[in-house]
Amino acid sequence: MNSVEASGLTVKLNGFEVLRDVNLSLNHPSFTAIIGPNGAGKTTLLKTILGLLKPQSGSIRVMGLDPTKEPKKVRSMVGYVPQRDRVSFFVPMRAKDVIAMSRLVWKRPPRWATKRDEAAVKKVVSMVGIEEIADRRFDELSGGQQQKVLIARAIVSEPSMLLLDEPFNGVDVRSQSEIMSLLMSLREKGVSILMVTHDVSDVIHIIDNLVLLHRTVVAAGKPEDVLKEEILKRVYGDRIGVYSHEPCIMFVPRDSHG
Amino acid sequence: MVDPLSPFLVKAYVAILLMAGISISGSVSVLRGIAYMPAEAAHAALGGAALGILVSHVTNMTLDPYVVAAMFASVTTLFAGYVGRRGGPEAIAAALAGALTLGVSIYAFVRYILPANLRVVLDGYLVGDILILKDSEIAMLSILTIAYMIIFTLFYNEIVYVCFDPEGAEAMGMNVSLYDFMIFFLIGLAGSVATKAVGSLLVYALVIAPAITAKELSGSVRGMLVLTSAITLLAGYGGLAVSLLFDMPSGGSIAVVASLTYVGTMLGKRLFQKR
Ligand SMILES: Nc1ncnc2c1ncn2[C@@H]1O[C@H](COP(=O)(O)OP(=O)(O)OP(=O)(O)O)[C@@H](O)[C@H]1O
Ligand SMILES: [Mg+2]
Repeated sequence: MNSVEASGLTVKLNGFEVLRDVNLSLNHPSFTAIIGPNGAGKTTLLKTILGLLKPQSGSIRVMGLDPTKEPKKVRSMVGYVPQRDRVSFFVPMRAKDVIAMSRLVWKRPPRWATKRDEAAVKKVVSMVGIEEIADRRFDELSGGQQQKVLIARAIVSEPSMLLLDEPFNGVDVRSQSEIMSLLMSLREKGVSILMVTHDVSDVIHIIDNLVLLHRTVVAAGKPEDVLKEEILKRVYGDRIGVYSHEPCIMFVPRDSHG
Repeated sequence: MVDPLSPFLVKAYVAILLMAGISISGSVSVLRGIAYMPAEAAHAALGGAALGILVSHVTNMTLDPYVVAAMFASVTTLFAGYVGRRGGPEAIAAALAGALTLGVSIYAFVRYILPANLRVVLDGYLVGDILILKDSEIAMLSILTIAYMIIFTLFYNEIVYVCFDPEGAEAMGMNVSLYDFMIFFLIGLAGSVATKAVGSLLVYALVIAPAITAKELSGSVRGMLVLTSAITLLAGYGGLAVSLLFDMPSGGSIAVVASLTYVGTMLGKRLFQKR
């Protein structure tokens, strides 16, 4: 089965064709990164996968289901980590209440948390390593901490697929590598991961597929097949070069043992 | 000295208790990012009440002005919610400001053409006097407040989620537009109840200021809601006591106590954090 299967997908927003004739097929499980310039339609593609936007034409299947026909089923199988700046800072929610959200939305009002929900939240909190901040206000956490909380929220309902929209925005290298190893362990457990990012150099060694999106799929496949100068030029223009150094420079977080 | 258990004082106690429930709508407005919404709904209610009084005066119908006030307030907030779905927070702010202006203009115009005895009734919606509410009015406002609190309790999570992260909530399968409209409707209803109970001017003091103060002090949404109601109670009863002790108008005293609470909190927080 494929996690995402799109053919001839066209999506319009207010009459403006944001995605045109997108053809994409990602196997399950797999780790995929989407890159592309600002306004390329990356967020739009994620929202179409979730059934939040309806395609004008073409077809899309997510875990074998049609998100335009069965949005609830798709959304129960797919965890979504939105761009962090889309979240309101007027709401003084505690981090653990934010995490519980994706379990409680599937209940009937008044959606009170059961012992099992609390246990599930606790488990994810320790899995993501955010025990110290679970009781603090979300709006008072740092960018990287907020990102971890939002990821914890997406995985607490045990999805088969995880969509992340620029999860490394405003996140330092240490948190970034922690998030990365978390995503890799999920991938090993059989979860498909689809991540929008602007910085592909950090993920190049761990992803299975790379998709270059610019209104349509310009290139898709193994990262080394996509990251070619003549392909990137078509999207980013002349001012980009591909440099690869072996061994490359890496940021490795050091544990402080005193 | 006034008897603290005299019937008109007991009614005032009940009215302030109702406001403690209604003040939750102030918290919700702060969460939704439009803190002034209850006050704007209240001024729309004021315009509605004016129209209601005028129509029943001119046509001799027995029309309860409060019904028109409640309709005006909820239609206004629902309209703001509708506008907001397309235009975002700026559009909501513009729609609500327009409703406030319209409400106050209607009030001013109707007040000008009404006979003196009806002006007094109308002015009760601007600067309400919690000491002269009728039993039947207290009963009606109690029922509305209780209904409001039940709906709020049932849909607490939805309301918080929609305010926190509408996109994420929708991606989790929630019907976000439905619950967003519910938020706006509840705030309109609350605004009209507050207008009838204490007058539209006091909404700032008893609904909005407590919510803003509570947000500064709370570690969670639940804590913020409880604290908002507590501050409303404090300001209401404190203000009432001040008004009786110093023989001042109740509305003004309540407003002063509420504002002092806010200022005191901010100063206290500063001092506390410096240490
Ligand atoms: N509601 C909307 N109505 C009209 N156009 C929209 C709307 N939302 C987005 N767009 C347009 O669609 C295009 C793609 O937007 P999208 O958010 O998918 O880009 P993106 O690749 O995620 O960009 P970024 O890297 O900046 O996040 C942009 O040109 C944007 O202006
Ligand atoms: Mg985007």
